[in-house]
Amino acid sequence: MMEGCEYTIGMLVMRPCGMPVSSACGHCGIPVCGAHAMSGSSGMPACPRCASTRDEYGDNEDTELESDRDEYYSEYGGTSSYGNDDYFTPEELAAVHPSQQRESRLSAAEDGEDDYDSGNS
Amino acid sequence: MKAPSKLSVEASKAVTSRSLTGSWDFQTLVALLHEIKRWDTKVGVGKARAKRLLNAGILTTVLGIFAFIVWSMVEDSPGPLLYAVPVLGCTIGMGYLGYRKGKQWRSVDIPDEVRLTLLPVLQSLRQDLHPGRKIRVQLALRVFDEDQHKTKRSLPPGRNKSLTEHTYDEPVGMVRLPLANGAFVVIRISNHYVQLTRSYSNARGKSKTKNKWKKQTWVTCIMIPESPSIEWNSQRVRKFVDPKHEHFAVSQRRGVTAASISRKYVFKKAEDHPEDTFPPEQVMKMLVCLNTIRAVQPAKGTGR
Repeated sequence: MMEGCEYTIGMLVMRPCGMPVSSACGHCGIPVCGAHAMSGSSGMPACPRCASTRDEYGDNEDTELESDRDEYYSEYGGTSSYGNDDYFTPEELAAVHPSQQRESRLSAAEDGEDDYDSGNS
Repeated sequence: MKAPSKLSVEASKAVTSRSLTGSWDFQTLVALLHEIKRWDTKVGVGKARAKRLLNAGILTTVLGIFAFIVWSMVEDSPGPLLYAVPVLGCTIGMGYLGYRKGKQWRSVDIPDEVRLTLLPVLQSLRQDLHPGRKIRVQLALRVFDEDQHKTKRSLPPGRNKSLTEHTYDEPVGMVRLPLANGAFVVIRISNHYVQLTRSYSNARGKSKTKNKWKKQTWVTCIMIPESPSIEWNSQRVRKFVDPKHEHFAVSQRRGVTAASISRKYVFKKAEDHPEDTFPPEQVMKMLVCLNTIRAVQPAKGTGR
């Protein structure tokens, strides 16, 4: 049993929200926090993912992000398997040969020192 | 043209200095970019008004000349032409005012990519950012100046009297975003304009000049992974990176292998330079593409 909100946030770094749970999605059943529990005309709470596919729930930033994420990842097999061990096919895994994939190098400008400097002011 | 007093000190400084350089947290940066967006929108309205004034001045001057000629022919006297001097003086003045105002607004204009490309991308990535690290920004808030070309050359004229090519550079800049998993994303944008001026004589022997404009926008998305164990899946690169329009590159640096996708967009327009911008959705697609060709995927549940 997860202790925090299980709604997946992020576009590039997808991870569970993790905030304290306030209810469960009435459609998929995942525990969600107050920020990710949307109420529709029926009064049933829904996570932004389920709300984005149902008319009874309005749109907000999270449902829009959810729709955008689905659209961006649809070409790559969707978001549901992203991050799982089986995300790559065996052929794709076999294709990881870093020495062969260096098709060209970034230009000096793109490869600037500052891009790698993790120091923050 | 002065920056309006309603802007915050930092936004006013950015608009006046025509550059935005530094490190900010997400909320502050977005608020700052929204202020700059409002200023840019105001400049856009001012430019459009000035253009309308210029066009109205040209149109009324041309129509006025015809009207006074016809009037003096109907009256069979040069008398009406005396009225032409003040009236046409006003219409020419109106056109000149539009031209001057247009130049003034253009001198404080900001590349639309900041408002139409970078800001939407930042907002789409708001949940991915590292809460404790700052976003580094290096933006030139200055559009290219038509009086300062980068190169000028005469081309073989062919059937024309002359054919001249001018080029202009507009480096928009870059933002570096720290991601929640420790990786970094860098987005770089630059514009290059080509103006082709053709002088020729029409069938009636009248000299004419026409311009053709081409705007080339280069966008490069770089993903610098958080760990040396992360590599890039060459099979997925071949599968998903479009070699016709995109360029994939990797670079080994400080123990990690960074990858980038670059893409060029071309916009064309006659007479005036194109103001189209690279769509933010394309930047997001490039970033998502980079994210899905990482050979070692992050385990689900590693977060914040």
